[in-house]
Amino acid sequence: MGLLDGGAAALFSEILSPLYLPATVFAVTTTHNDRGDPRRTIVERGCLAQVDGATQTMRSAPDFAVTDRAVYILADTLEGGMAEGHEVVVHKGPYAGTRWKVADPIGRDPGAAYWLCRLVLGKAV
Amino acid sequence: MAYTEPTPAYLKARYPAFADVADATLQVYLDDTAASVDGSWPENLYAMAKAAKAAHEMASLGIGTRSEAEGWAAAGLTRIKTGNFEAAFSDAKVARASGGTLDSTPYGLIFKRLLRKAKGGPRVVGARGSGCGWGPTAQQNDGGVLPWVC
Repeated sequence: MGLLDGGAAALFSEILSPLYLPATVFAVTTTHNDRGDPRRTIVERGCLAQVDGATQTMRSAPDFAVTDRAVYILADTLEGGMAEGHEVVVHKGPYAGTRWKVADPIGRDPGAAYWLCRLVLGKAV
Repeated sequence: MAYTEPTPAYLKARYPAFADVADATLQVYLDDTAASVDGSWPENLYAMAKAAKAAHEMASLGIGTRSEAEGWAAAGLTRIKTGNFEAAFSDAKVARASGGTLDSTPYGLIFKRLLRKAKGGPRVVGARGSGCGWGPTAQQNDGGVLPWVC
């Protein structure tokens, strides 16, 4: 396993897991039935995460609000990926229990060690 | 007390990192330790030393499980950065881990400690004590007696 195909992700997961906080990602997908009615499916996935200040890129988003935050999620601890519309709850720390909605930008690093997403307050369903 | 040859099960019980390694592989490395651990070792350290030496040799070759950090340190990695994540390892530790000596694995360090117990340490040799005073054999050329040097 090389650094770019899982090595870096495994290494940072090992180093940072003791420091990161337990969190749940609610993977939200919307499908439509034959009549076109939307159906919302939510899958809960555990992971380790850390809420941080919004990055400069996030601050450049047209709908940026001062309450927005960034979240780092250790990729090795999360099954599946992140997408706009997913929701995140970090269970410990200063933002414990807050249910955030994930908004663009959603980023990754070259070694696929983390997901970096903008968190938006008050829009989660 | 006879020497007890360590078995693969003994090695696995002592070092769970090798639990998934085939017994045949473990046996080969245990057999190889005959060159380092033999009948000159104390019986109570014999099996432990053979298991530690075999584990060290296997760990040096990447056999068995080890932490990601240990694996990359053994490969000589001292610093890694990906996106906003960055980690640096102690240069001295990486040099040790990638050096291939007994210091490069925890098993090697255990073997080294056992080796010191079995073979190292100060040797006590017998010596005849003698007080200061006039020795009977140290004589000057003129036949005078010289004192002992204490």
